Amino acid sequence: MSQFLRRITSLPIQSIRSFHSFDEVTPAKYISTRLKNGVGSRYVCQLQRLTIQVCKEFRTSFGTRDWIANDLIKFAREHPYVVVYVQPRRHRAPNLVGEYLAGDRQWIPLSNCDREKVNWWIHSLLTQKGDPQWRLLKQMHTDSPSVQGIWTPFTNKPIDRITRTYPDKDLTEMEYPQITATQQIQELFEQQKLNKTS
Amino acid sequence: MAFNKAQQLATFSRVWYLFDAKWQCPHMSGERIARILRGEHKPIYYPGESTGDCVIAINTRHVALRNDAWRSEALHIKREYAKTRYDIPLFKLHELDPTKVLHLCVLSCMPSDSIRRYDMARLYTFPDDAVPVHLIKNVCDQIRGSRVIPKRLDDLTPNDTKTFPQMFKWPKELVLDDLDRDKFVRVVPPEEIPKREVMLGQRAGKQNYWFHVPTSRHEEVKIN
Amino acid sequence: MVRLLRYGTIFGPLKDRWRYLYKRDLYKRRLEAGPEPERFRSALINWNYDAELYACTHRFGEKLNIESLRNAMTDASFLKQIVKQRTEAGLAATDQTTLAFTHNQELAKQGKQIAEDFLQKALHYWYPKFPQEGIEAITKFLLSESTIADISSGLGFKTLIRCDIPSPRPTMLTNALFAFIGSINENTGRSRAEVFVADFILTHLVGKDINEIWQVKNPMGLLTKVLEENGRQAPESRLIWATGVSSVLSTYVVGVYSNKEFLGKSAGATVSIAEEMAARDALRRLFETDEKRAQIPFDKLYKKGLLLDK
Repeated sequence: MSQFLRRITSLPIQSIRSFHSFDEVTPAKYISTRLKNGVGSRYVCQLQRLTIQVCKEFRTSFGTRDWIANDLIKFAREHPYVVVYVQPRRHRAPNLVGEYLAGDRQWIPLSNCDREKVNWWIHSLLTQKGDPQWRLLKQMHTDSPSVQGIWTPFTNKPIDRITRTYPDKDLTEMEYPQITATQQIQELFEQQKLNKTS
Repeated sequence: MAFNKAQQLATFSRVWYLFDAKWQCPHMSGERIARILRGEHKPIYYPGESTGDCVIAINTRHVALRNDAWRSEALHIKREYAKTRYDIPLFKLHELDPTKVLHLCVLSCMPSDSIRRYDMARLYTFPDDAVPVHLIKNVCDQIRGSRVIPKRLDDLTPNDTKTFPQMFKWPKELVLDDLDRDKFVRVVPPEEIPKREVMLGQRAGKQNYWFHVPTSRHEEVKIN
Repeated sequence: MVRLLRYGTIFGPLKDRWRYLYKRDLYKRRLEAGPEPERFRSALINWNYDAELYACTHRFGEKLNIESLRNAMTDASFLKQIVKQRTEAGLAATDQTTLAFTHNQELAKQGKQIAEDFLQKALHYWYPKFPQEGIEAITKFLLSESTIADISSGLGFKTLIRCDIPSPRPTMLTNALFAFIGSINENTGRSRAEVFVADFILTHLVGKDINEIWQVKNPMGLLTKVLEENGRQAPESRLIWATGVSSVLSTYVVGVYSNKEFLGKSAGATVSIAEEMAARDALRRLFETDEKRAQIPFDKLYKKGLLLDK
């Protein structure tokens, strides 16, 4: 009940994303495009048809009416791949319904939107893939993470480690230890010896 | 099994390491071991993921603490009720459980989150170099120590001492007998040692151990 | 949409007894009525089939005749249904042949042939060392009904197909896509149809491992055979790494060598699995299809000489 109230009160009226509660487990997936759109030599607009439901009299659809009067023809010319239906309905709120190639549907209420806002929403639907209901696991994803070969714990590990029996005495001590005073003296002594003989 | 599954297995496989703690400082080796147990040495490390490796530490009985730490440092135990906290000095702790010191050093090097216990479960400690066969079979790499293992005087052969270069000659006036320490020092009998009062379970601090630690058994003797 | 919320729960108790009973009765009746039957998209008021077809030609940038596209989108079941309706209405058998359109079976056959030829050609070009058997397996996967139906529904043919059921079956979707390719071939030429296949069917390989698509039962046997054909010695496998042998998460890394020459290596939970995977890795390296290999340049197939004219 409280969730329901929160949804009504806190969310803006126009929002394309549905309410998401972190208490619930919702379906999620990696980011992707439908049918690898744009990988080939052409891009296919995913919006298939657009239905604008509008009232001719009410004030709530003034912006929608404006858009239809001024921008609709231009829009249809620029985007011949979208079928636009205008549906006049008496004394009801204006709506925007987009249907996508994959069969998804988007519904956006346009009440009291001015012409610019209507244009914004229509272009928002135009550039979408169509399914905002999915939660994205990550903002980026790749199917081939590496072309050099994926790292394993064994890459760059000296190969002789497998042939030894553990505990191994060679691997116990430091790899590059500091020379002790005793060793320094011994080295100096040997150098002296060499100098004397030569 | 698909091929990408095999790659996944190879990347996330847990490698078993061996660590020989003989003559090593447990604090410094604890840092290394903790890093490996948490998987921080891997490029795939990510805080939420469990990418750590397994470590078998042997010879923990023979760890070498710095300075006077065996005597001066202690495990502070604070129990729930008032006036029940006490200290165990590390040499006593080492007698009770020879693996505990290294274990605690590794534990203190890990951030205190909930994953720490699971990471610590991948550490196997053994007081000597006797390790069960089924564990030593797993090992495929060894962690190097952080200290040079010193050579003790009684390890040296008489040949070593002979061939070592003579740095200087003793002056003739010097009586070499005077170097004998026992001449200047008297072993103090126990009844002469001043007794300290020990408060049980009162305060943390090396004066307040739960048993008596006599320290000064020797006394300087002045020879006129 | 029918509201299936139980009245009198989330909006507090209903005070009027009669209203409660009335709502409860409506609720029960709705449940008894069952789910709504599926409807054709064309049954809705905002539907103009000609406009949809026109948009469809522009969507893919193809210059198609609308009538030819209409034929391509007509399934055999639709024609059968119309004939049946006419017979029931009492029309003569001779009138049934004067329908203005045909179904898409012929076009689909043609389109499928084009797709198959092109895919084989492209795969042969890009993976020259991959055996013929494997290329056939990949082509079969790409042209299988599930794949093509998925592509077809993703391209929006689901609502455009004319058939006797509201949600078309996979075979209908498949036929529609192939018929679309066929009609491109008829209208604007074969090269254009091949570009369509490259753009929408061949790209289905993105993110997929073609070695997994072709399932080799006995990789070591195949490796031996391939090496024999190349005049090299039989493969030998050697254990490279082993860790956690007695634990649950044991890992073995096995390498495959031929005459002390490295072929491939892989990890596995047991030695036998690791050996099998190593043989697979060796095959991938021999066929040059491993991850080092670049993807097919889907947008530059012209430059590679696969498609001559644009």
